[in-house]
Amino acid sequence: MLVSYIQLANRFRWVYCQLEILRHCLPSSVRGTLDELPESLDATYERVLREIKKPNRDHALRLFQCLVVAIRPLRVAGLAEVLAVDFDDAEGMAKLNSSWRWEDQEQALLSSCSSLISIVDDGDGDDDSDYDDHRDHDSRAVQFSHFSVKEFLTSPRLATPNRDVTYYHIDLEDAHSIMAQACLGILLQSDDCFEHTGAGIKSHIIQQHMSYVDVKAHVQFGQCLRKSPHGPTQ
Amino acid sequence: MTQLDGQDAKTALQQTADDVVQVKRSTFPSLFGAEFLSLTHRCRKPVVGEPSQMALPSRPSTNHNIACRTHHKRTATWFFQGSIFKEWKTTGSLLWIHGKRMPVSHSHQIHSDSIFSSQLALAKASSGSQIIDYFCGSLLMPSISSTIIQDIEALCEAGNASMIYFYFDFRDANKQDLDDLICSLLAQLFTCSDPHYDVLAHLYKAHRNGTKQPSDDSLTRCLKQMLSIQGQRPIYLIVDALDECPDSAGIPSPRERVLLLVKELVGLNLPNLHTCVTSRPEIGIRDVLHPLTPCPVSLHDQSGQKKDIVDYVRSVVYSDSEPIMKRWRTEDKDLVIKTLSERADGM
Repeated sequence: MLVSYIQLANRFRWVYCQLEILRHCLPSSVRGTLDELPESLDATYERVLREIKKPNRDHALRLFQCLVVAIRPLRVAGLAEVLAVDFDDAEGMAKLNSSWRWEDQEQALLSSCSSLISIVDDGDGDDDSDYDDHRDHDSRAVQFSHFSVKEFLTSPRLATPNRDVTYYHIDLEDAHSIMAQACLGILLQSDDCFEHTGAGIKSHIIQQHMSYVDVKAHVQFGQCLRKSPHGPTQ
Repeated sequence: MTQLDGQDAKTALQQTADDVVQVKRSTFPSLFGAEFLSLTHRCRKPVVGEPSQMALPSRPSTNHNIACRTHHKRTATWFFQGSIFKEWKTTGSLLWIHGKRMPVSHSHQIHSDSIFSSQLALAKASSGSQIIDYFCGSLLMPSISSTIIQDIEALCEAGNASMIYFYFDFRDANKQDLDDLICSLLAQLFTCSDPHYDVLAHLYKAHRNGTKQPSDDSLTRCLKQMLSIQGQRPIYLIVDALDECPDSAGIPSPRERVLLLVKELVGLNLPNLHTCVTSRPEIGIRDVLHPLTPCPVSLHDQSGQKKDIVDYVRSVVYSDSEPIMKRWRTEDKDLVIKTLSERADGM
């Protein structure tokens, strides 16, 4: 049988996912669980997506969109801000809604789909002393827990109509648009919005996570996708 | 799809449009930046008026460390016992480790079931914010080249070789382009010897002492000069996950430019240069690399993969640190090993 690296990596990933389930099984339920294992990695991920509670769906989708199109590693603090952006503001502009912030930023990110994303401490944070208060946050990067997750979320397989998890299919153009709007919404926010979280945090977030550079990049990516004959919106 | 609108947004975007050049300079890696300064301190012969502002190379070690953390020792043993790897280490050739393009899988519709739900809920509750990251990060490709790297590092520590490496990473904007690759390699190479340093110092002077950004062409020339220096120790050049270098924007695309570089380097026929590329065999990559490689390594040439999975499952199921699994009956443990490895094998 022909097997590729990616296939083998995905086999290991599948085994890993199943072990994650099995390791919590009491002796009495091991066999039953074994009989019900999903057949493929796709099926494994589909189960996880179905497990996301309905009220958390938008939250999870936004998280996936950001992770798919991010142009640099996303840090916990920055991504948590994106999740506090109101995209349906009355003025038609995405706006940071400070009351939507979570006290625990990690929890904000992990609450809806903890097994598909992971937070890694890469110890690569900003060394600028002005941001000492937030250095703990800086080194925590958010990423998909495996490359196959991103592949799955953006694949045409997930876009097939009549699948109950099609909602989570990531359209790149939409995702870039969301990111551009989110960055802009945060950048254009008045400073009052940041007063409760400390004076330095806005500049910190801009330095570390989103700037006009990011806005421009996402707008450009979006435009490229729209023009490209191979783009998802052909 | 919601559109960007609002006057504020347009004004803001206009401002950014005026700054593109600035943007490129500040967000993309340049050869002349802060980190180079610290690297030059490691150089044996500091030069007066030396590159004081050079380089912000990508940090290959960031990825290397991450890959090592998730590396399972047994994953790739079958590969390294093989003769191909030994041959590559002793002869100057290109080693291309590739997989097969993943077929579109037709997953079966799985009906939600309560056992799975409750187990998953348990899994979530117990993992909490502590993300279970062992062995689920980038699994195989990085672990292969991480193993190569550790192996070569042993040679280097013995003073018999130099190793330079670069990981492409779709998650890191600084690990996706030709200049990222070359800058990183130059930064790793120039500390090898005085002649290496001189090549870089020359480049620095030729670019108004680092105030002008070098072009890709001059970076490439610089790299070739360093690799071609006579009488140097063997150099192991490892380029990992080439398929994570984007093939999208630009003519030629970043990936095409990297492939061209690999082709040119192999074309130099340097006896002391051992190049290893790992990637998926995307058509564009295969077309360039296949003719250059006497013996491309594909996983399906190898045996022992199933054993690796069996070993991995056994190591978890029989682990002393698994509080619940420890209480399983032995026959259930063995059934889990058997079932998971067989099912994985059939995927």
